[in-house]
Amino acid sequence: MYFPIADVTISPILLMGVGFLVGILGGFFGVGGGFLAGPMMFWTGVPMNFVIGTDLAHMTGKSIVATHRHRALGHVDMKLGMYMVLGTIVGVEIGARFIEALEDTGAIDITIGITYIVILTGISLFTAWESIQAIQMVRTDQIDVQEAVGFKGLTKRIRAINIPPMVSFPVSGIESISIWMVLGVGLFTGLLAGSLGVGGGFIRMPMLIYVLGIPTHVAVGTDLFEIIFSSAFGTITHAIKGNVDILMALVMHTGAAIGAQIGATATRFFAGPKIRLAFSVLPLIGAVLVAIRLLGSGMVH
Amino acid sequence: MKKLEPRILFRNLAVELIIYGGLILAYNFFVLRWMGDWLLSIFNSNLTVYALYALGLIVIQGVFLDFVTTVLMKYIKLDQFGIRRILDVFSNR
Repeated sequence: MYFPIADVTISPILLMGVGFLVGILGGFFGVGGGFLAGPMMFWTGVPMNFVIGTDLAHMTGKSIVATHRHRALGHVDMKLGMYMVLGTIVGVEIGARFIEALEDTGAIDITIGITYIVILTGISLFTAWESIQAIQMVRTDQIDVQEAVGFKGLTKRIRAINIPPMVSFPVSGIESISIWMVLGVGLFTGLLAGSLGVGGGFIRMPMLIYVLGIPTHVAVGTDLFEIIFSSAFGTITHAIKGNVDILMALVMHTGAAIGAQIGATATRFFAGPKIRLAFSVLPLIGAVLVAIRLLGSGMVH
Repeated sequence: MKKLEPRILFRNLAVELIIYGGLILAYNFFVLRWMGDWLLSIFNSNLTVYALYALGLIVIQGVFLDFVTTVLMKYIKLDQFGIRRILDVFSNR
């Protein structure tokens, strides 16, 4: 099929296949999946300047499908999501300005690359350790698997902070929490996402679980809800720069829509700790891909 | 919750993917294929308008495919693993 905007001919079946795979991951783990979709799109023949923008556009449509599915399952806290969006937008803007300042130093790629690898590896190892702890807790202490979290210290401290106004999030099971903590988490994840140039699902999902104490299934659904807004914003900004082939995104999305439905439905059959254990592999893959890119570009010897 | 045999589960999934694949191929052929020139002319004339169209199209398709996939999954019972077997659904009709 010929895509006149990007001026390339690519098999729509391949694009749908990529969308399908990334859709399953997105629906199941609550991530945008740009770290995998990007290299795969490039592999199918999408020109590099169209990869990020087109991926963001298809992510918008995919997140709508996955969020709706998760909402039907009671996994989306829309109130929490809206607060997080506010914090994230401010964070992304600060992160983008930080990057502009860093560009003047001339060492931006290596600095961001190494930071990205360190953060993603840290998230991966921590999530794997915690989820194994939680699985062992379920076996030895016979506690409810949905409540099993191997690391609750930070959540307790965050919830003990009593700076008004206090808000409640019934869907997430939070009776009272300072609004500043929620906005702060959104700001921090937005800051990292804006600085590292990624969607932020990798970072936001663990932060929702370990910092705010949101149940895993709700964290997945709420993260997807947020991705609708962040990827829509990204679609507009990239499209204005001429970096979105919307026809390609529409074709990819036809595969992603069914993948997202399957991924979201599959979360019903897995308990929180197992979802987190499987999730822990994803940031590691992202870190390895960045490491390969840095080594390939000759920036690291 | 009663669990479905993996064999049946994969069969359900395969049936849904075949039906969905057919619908999507028709959609690609009859709708998306013919939108290329129209989108290219907007892309070349005004990128801001193109950006708005791009977002609008992906959101509309998102809502549309959400409806299609939800109906399919409900009909095939893929979202209710173990309640009814896909072959029973078809053999009763």
